[in-house]
Amino acid sequence: MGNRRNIRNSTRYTDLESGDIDERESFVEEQVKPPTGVWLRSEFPGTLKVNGIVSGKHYVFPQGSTLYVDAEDVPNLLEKTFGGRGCCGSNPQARPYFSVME
Amino acid sequence: MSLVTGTPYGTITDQEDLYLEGAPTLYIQDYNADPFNNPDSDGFYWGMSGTSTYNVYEVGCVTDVSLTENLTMSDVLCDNVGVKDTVQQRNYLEFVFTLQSFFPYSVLRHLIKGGTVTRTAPTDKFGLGKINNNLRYMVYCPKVYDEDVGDYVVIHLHKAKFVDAWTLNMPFGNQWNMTGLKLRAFADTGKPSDQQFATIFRSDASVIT
Repeated sequence: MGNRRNIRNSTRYTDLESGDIDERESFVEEQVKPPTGVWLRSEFPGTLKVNGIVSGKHYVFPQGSTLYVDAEDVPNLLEKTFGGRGCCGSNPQARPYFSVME
Repeated sequence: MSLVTGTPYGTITDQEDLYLEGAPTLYIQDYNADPFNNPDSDGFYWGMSGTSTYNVYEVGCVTDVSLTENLTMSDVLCDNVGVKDTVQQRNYLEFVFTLQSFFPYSVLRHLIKGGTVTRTAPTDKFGLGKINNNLRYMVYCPKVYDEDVGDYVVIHLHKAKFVDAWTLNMPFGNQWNMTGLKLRAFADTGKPSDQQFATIFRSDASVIT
């Protein structure tokens, strides 16, 4: 039995000594496709329109919305920040436009 | 030490030798967001926590800040003795201030009742059109009065709206400023009756023990 389990994608096994046929589940490896996109949420308080530098796609994010973005555009989009020029010192750091949705 | 004359007998609570100076910081957030303490362990509603959907906006560089209240006050006049009582109802609280910082537009548009900002690098745009009367805000105004130990007060208004007409002044040789900004807080009937308009908060570990 141990040897049989090492055989992948087999659905029928024949016990050579007894002649019994052993029906088994088929073990099919699903090929996992590499991710083609990432869900990004806009943190900008308004409508944000940006272009994907690599794909050339135009993305429109209404306030607080989440969009599926081409993976190749993601690194550049995640580098974009806004704010950080506060007048009154309570929140001086720039914030990213986008956060990645898990 | 008691005065020789004039000091009442019995228990007396006197006021502290402590004075506040300057304006608080003003933060606003959509009224549909929940206050950070909703409520706290004592049943008070106050505080803010910004989210993607409900950003917290800091109103920058304000001056001439004042907080007033509006009451309806009616004297109970008895023709034989005069005014026997005065009946009062609180109508609203109102912050009035002058603004000197206008950017980004994503904050300014709330103050002047504008539309949603659209950002397409390198531009920001928004319109002034019909006023959306459904926009209401929580207002959170902390004022730190001892930065060494972190003592502070907070005025938290539950349900406010920018009202009245603003004026944008553009003087020669001085910064632009906007006057006439009024942030009026109405009764929030979803809150307990004794804090429908606001929650007032103080944190001072050396005094409040």
